[in-house]
Amino acid sequence: MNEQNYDDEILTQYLLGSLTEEKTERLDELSLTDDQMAARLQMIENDLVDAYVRGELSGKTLSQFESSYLASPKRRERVSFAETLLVLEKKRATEIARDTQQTTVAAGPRSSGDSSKRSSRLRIFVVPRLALQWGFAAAALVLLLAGGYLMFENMRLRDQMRQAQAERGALEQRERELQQQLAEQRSSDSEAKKELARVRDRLEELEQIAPDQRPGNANQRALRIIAFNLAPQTRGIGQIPTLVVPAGTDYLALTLDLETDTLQAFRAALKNTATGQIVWRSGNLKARGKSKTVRVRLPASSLKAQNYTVDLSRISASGVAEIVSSYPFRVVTQ
Amino acid sequence: MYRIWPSGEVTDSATTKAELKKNWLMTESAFVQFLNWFDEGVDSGGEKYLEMRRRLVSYFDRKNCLLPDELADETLNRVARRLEEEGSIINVSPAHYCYIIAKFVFLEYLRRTEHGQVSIDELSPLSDTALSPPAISERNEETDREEKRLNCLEHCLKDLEQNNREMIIQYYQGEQRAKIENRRALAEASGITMNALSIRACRIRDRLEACLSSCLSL
Repeated sequence: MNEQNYDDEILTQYLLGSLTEEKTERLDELSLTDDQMAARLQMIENDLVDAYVRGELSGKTLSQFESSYLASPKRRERVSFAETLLVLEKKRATEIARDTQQTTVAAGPRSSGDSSKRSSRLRIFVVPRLALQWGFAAAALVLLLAGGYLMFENMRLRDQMRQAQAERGALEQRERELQQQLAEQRSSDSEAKKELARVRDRLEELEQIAPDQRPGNANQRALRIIAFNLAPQTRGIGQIPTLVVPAGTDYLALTLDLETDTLQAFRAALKNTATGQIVWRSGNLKARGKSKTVRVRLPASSLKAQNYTVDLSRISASGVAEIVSSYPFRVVTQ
Repeated sequence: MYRIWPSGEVTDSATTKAELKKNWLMTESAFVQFLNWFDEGVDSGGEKYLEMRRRLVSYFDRKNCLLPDELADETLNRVARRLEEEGSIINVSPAHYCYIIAKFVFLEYLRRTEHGQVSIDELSPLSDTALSPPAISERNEETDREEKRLNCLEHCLKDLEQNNREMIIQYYQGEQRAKIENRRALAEASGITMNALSIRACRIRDRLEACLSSCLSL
């Protein structure tokens, strides 16, 4: 037998008296002379007795224990002590379990196996277990609801964004179309204005052509026109020119001297100097090249023996008329 | 005619050596000499002597001797007497010498029992519970007796030092695998090996057993 490695099973059999005489005698000596063996033997014996009182022995071991080990009064006292120790252990465990059960539902049937320190530590986990479970469940439910709401909100916002983008695209398209229409209208207006200016110029030209030179007027009577040249009225008081208009005169062709820029269009208005009443108006007039004059043809039928004034207005690009010069004269009829 | 023995005792020539041995009583000086011899130069405070006595009691108990405590004391007395007579015991360790003497004591005990020479004083006081191996179910029925044992054990636990009390309570907590794991954790927490823990627990248990026995006898 290896004295340095004591087999627990051999020692158990030794305690139960089931070894041979030779082995028993050897272990008898070692139980007194070998410190390590003596200590190990004592531990095995205590564990054997504890196992018996806990009902953990069975079969041959149990029968040998009851027949051999319990034959000694002293050993029976050891068993009694172990039983009392077990009762005390269970009593303490029951008290701890009862204290634990007051605040939790997780006390187990083997809580008697916990030490007082382990039980107090375990209370930290056992006592709030139910609350923890409900807490975790509630937290999980809240998270689930929050997640669902956020997902729904995300989908709604995405849909809104898509609609806004579509609407924006439609508005941008409409803007482009309107801009195009505006451009087209502007172009049309410009063309219309050009056309109108051309028509007016032609009319003016036609009005300034002698009747007998007009196309289609070859068989009509020749008109009698008397031409006069007028200068603009100055500040100084001077004698106004007198125009003698013989009887049977059809028109007076007045040549008006210009003092301003001649590139613009003009209009003339014949006014009764005494009353200020306008008796005749012209169309658009243009200066005659380098002479810086404007010709106006007045119908003689509109004239009487009185003072008149011709107001010459400059027409701006926006169509606003501004009197730039006035030409007073007296008409004497014969 | 008188004889002067090495122990200093003076007797008449009619007194035999055997009678002298039988009547030998350990003196204080002999006991001190005996303890010093047992300690082998390292003062154990009597612990080695007490440990040897415990081993001897267990030895005689395993031999199913009726009075193992008395036989253990007889063994130690003979060792002490021989040490006093010879002055010293050499070529054998104290533990081995105790074993040799214990074997002789046991053989003498067997001789006496075979010849029916065991006196009534050597018979242990038998109780009803000692006649037959007790069944746990029977003991559970003795609630008053168990209650007294329980109270005594709780009293003995309170008498322990706090660290010893906590250790012994935790040492026996749990069952089977849980108990092993619990002991391993207890050893680690105490900073000692499992073997050292077991030895310490056994010593504390011995003290509790002795305390309980004393409490029940009151």
